Amino acid sequence: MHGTTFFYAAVLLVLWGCGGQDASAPPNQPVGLEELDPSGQEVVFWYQHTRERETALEELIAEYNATNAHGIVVKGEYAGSYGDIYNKMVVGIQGDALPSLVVAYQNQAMAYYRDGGVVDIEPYMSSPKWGFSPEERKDFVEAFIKQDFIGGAQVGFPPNRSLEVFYYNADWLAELGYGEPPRTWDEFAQLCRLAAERPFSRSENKERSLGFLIEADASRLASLVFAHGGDLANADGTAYTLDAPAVRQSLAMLRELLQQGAIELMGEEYGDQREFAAGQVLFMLRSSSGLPFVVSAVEDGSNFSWSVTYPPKEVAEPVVNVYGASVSLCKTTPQQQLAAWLFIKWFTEPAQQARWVRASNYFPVRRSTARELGDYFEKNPRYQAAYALLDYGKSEPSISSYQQVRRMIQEAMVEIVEGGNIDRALADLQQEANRTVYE
Amino acid sequence: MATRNALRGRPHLVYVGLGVGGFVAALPFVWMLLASFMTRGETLRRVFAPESVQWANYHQAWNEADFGLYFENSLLVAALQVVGTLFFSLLAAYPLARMEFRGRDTVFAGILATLMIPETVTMVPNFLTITWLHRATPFAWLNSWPALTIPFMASAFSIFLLRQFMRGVPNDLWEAAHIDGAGHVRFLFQIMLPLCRAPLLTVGMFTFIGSWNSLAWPLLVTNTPDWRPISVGLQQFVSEAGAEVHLQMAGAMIATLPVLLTYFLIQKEFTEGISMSGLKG
Repeated sequence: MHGTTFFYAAVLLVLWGCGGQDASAPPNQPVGLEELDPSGQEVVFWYQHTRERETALEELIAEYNATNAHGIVVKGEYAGSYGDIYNKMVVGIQGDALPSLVVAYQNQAMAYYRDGGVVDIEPYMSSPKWGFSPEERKDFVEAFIKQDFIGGAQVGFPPNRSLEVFYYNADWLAELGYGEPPRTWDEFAQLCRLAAERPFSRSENKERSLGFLIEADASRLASLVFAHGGDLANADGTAYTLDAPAVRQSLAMLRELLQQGAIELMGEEYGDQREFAAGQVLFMLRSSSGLPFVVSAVEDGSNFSWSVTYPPKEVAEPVVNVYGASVSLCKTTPQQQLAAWLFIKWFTEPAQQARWVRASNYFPVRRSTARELGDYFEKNPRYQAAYALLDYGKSEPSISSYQQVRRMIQEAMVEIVEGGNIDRALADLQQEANRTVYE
Repeated sequence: MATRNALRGRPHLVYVGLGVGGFVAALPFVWMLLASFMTRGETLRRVFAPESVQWANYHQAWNEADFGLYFENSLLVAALQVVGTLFFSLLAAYPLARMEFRGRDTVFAGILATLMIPETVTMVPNFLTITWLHRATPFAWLNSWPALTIPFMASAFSIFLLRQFMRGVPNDLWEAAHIDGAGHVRFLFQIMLPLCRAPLLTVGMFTFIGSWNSLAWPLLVTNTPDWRPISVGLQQFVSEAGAEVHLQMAGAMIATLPVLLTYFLIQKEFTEGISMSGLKG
């Protein structure tokens, strides 16, 4: 499934490149923003949410439609997965068939912006009439907003964020003689080996016992590399650093553990969640937004005590991969763009954020939202534990070609972990990845 | 040849081989069926069979993902596409098979060459054409059935399949019909059409399956559930947090049934159509 998505994305990207879009086109700056009248505008919002999250989002949209002073009507539309939305946007930019608002990861938003599909949000944020007051602006976690500030433009705005947290089976750890999750990678490796030798007492399939299932995925690697003190790109986002020592150490560690039979490469989508819940895998690296899913999966599975923390580290402070799609303002009419912005602004107000957090389990982007979440923290101690890690967040590269590079990373991970030549594979990866920056 | 001779007189070996092949082919389907009746816990623990049959999964899958609407959409879109493909393929295949005109083989070669172009490559031009038609004509193309069906009604593979079959029809039939005063149109619809039952059903089957399984194109040209097919409904069971495998499998069973049913109904004609068109290996 992912393979197909990436194939489509790659083909569409090539075609898009041939489509004659002017990469140097000036961004669409709102003219006379203060004088614009957004009354009666219809805002189409493409999102990826399904089921409970979609229901909650639609409820919020309905409330906005019923209460906003300008008679703006927002129409939420499920547009498929992130990959599907990317495909729709790529062809939509060429066919001038765009929504008003779209969910987009930073690198996707940058690609849309480069090709004139989305506009810079900064003028809306700083507008005296339509933007944030200084107090409101201060209330936002600045690091989240900065994630979408790429190449001198605010290409997206965060409605929520997630962290990639380290899930651990506390009961199994206790059986192995540990009261705490591992704090260093050496300790992690030791525990993975122990887990492979001593299955969890409540596991139904004691023939299969592993420390960790690693998914060949750029975000998983980013978490490991961050916690080894490295990064996937340089500080100014102009080049990848995929042959850096931290990348090498992370992959070498995984390879060694795989050869020892302590961990395995994940072959099935969400296989780590399934096996973690079944008590067959001791640790898992996953998004904090999946917490409710893991709660119910463990209850249905081997029903053990578990929690989340930051990944083991080789540096002084914990480092946690913080990510999450933002929303971008598509290039439509100035009135529609303003109307779409007003919806974003409303959606990120603490009251709405609190409701969205309860429904989605994402993290809010405004600090004051926490004040409205006291009871939620109490009922969801694991969410609170993850929330406490927000200050240690670090983001993946915001380079526009990162979507392509993610695929390359995935392939290199498989090659290296399965025993390929690490030096050659990383050198090739670095070269190929950096080529995409200059293309 | 030596292997064939060795197997002659030992049919049990052939049956064992076929049995193993059949079992391997059927295993994913059997697993899908069993998983569709499991609780979520059972899918997590990877048990082979459910302890008790969870019929509720089907009810939940049908209701939660609005399967009724998606199912209806898929049926309508597939039916329109099958009818359109059969009609246009028939009209294109007949002259290529039965009429003499300059450049016929070149045209046919050109049509065959399009088989080598991947669908993904034609996706962007198709989308641009559809958006242009949506704006330039009074009809709604996007978010409606025309965008989902019309671009696929001209199928090179279907034309090829029908043309191969039509070439095998004896010329005596045409001569007799011609003496009786029939033209090409009458010959096509009154004589050729009934003879083409098997390849037409084969083309219909392929078109139906293609339409039923399509996901990327429907997602591209639709933004609301009004015309979205069942493949989009199945996607609803996978969220960022994880997959509800038991519901996904129940949904997949519902989505697979029409295809299976169609195949069982026209199995004989399907095999006949394939073998008569020269595609048999």
